[in-house]
Amino acid sequence: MSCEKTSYLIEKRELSKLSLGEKFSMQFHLLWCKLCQKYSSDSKILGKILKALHKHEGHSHLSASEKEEMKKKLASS
Amino acid sequence: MQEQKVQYDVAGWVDLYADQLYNYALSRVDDADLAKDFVQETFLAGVKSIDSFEGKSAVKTWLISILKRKIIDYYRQKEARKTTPISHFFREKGRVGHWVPEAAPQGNYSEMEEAIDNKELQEAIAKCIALLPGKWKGVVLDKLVEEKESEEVCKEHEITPSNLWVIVHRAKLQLRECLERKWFNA
Repeated sequence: MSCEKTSYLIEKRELSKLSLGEKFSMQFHLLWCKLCQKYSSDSKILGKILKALHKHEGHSHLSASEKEEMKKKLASS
Repeated sequence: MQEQKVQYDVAGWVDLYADQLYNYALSRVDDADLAKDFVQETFLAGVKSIDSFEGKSAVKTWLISILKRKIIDYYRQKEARKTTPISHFFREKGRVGHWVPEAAPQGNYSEMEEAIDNKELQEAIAKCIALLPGKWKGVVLDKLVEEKESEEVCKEHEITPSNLWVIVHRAKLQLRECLERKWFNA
């Protein structure tokens, strides 16, 4: 099994159930492939970083004049 | 029998929903002017299609759905940019499908885990997300940031579950490398 396929299964595992065959070939590859082991641990942490982003979502505002402008355009539509 | 018409305070919508729509757009297009245009267009489209709004959902939900549609259409029109080819990550010759050494994971993300609430880290990952092709960006935000149900994400972006797995795989390969570069080489 290739690293490309293994890294795909590492991601798919987070989204869906793997088949027995998929699980087996992924685990087998991970036994000896240091780079895919690294990918797997990096990817888990990347997942956490992405989720953490949600807590910190922006609180931007449009100005009052920008909103008035919008209302005007709406009124004339 | 005369149909009952509900009167909507359209100008009031701007006060109530403009900022929420704006933030939603901003997190997806990363350009203040463009985001503002999307909000304006959403209100206009809302006014035009007000007859089809049956009050089944909240006004806000309905407006967000219009905005979403507009953003998806926008990206559909300018697809296929900023995609790192799969051959950047995996060999096409020799040991086919194995990591290209320069793009191989370093396994150094454990150092980042402690900085997860760090503002600079968040800015760095936001920049990396902004560099993704548009369609991936929406999927990444919905699935990996907001953690929506896969079924919902597929429906919204009109993709199959296996499309979703492929997009997430490709996007994470790209994000992993991008963030590593930004964080460790900055």
